[in-house]
Amino acid sequence: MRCRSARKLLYQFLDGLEDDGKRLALEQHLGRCSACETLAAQLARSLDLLHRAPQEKPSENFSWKLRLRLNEERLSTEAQEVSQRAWLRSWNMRYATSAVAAFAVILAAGWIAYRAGIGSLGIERTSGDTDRWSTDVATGANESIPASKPVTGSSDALRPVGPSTGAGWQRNVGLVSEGAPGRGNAQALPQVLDDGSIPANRGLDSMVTRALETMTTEQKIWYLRGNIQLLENHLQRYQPTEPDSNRR
Amino acid sequence: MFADFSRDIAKLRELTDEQLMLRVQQGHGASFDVLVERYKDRLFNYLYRLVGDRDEAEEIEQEAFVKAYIHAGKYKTIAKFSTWLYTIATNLVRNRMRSRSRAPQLFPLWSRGHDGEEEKPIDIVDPDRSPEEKINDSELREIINEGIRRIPDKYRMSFVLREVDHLSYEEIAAVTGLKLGTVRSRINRARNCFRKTLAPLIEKGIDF
Repeated sequence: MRCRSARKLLYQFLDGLEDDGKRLALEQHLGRCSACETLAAQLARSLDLLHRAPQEKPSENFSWKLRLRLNEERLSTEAQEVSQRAWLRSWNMRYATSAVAAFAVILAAGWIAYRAGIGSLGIERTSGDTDRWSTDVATGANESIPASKPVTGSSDALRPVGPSTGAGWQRNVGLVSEGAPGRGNAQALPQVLDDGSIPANRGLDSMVTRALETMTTEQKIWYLRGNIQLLENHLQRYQPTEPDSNRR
Repeated sequence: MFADFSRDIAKLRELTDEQLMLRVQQGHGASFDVLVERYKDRLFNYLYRLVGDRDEAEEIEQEAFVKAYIHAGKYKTIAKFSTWLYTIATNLVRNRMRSRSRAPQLFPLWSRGHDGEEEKPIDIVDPDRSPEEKINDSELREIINEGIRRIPDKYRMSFVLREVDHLSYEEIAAVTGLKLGTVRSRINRARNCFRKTLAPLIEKGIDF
């Protein structure tokens, strides 16, 4: 047996190897090799000293100190949990407030956009019977209305049916406030000018669609009849002229 | 009332570590006290052999028990409680060693015991001392501490777990996170290093 193998075997015996054959071989080697014998003796003696050394113990008040520390940890964990819960509650409140505020902002923005949409159609909410759009047409102030077309007749001419008693802008869109079978949808209706044209406007189609969707059948018939009436009035009032012959 | 309490504690002492831990997980604090009583000396001995300082060993031990208590919910009964506790303590020691290696000048004791360090004869015992004069406990303690301290850091943990706490190789591998073969070779290297430190005293034939 070589020294290297003998030392390897020595460590195995230290770990409790029980093999009589190998033990005999090792003992034979140790008897022949003084270096390995010394090493084996020193190793056994040093480890024996280590095992015999008195066991170190913590201070007597260790358990007491540990208990205090555990209690502190327990309290701090509980306090942390309480603060986390409180934070969560406050966060929920903040979240709810923010949600309400955001909803309010969205509503306001929607309302403003809606108002802006009506404005771009040339519809003005007026308190009296004076129709601002008529003035716009006359002066060409409103780009959506063709100013070159002749504008005659009073605002009553815009009424498809019945007398005008409602707000001016309602009449502008071809509705009457009186006698109409329901006024709820009037605000959503598009404008039909007295020359029969519908001013080009973004969102007009969707407005018409939306308005028609929300109308009852009776309201739809009434609305379309009103516009037909308006167109008929227009045709009766204005005779088409040849622009070229006028120039000559 | 006190008699009832004593009877309860006596009953708890009959339970295994794992059974006690299950009770701790259910919020039974007294079970943890029993575990502390069961392991505080063993764990302290291990930590003291590793760090070589009583105050520090006690501090780490306290931290290890606190961690074990706080994270009791994470303990799974598939592992032995002792292995789990030793792993916590070993990781705490490792963290300290790591932080100390960044500032070695503050902790000169820890900066020693590296690979390649020149072996010096142990000088705890008076060289003029007669071999017949028996070494007392405190001297033996110092010799042992010095012997362990001179073992390189990376071998020391496995060595102490094996020779001081008598853990099996498998348990040591679980605690240190090393492979079985690595544990075996590290322990043998440490044994040899320890032997070399104590060899002069042994050669002198001083009676321990």
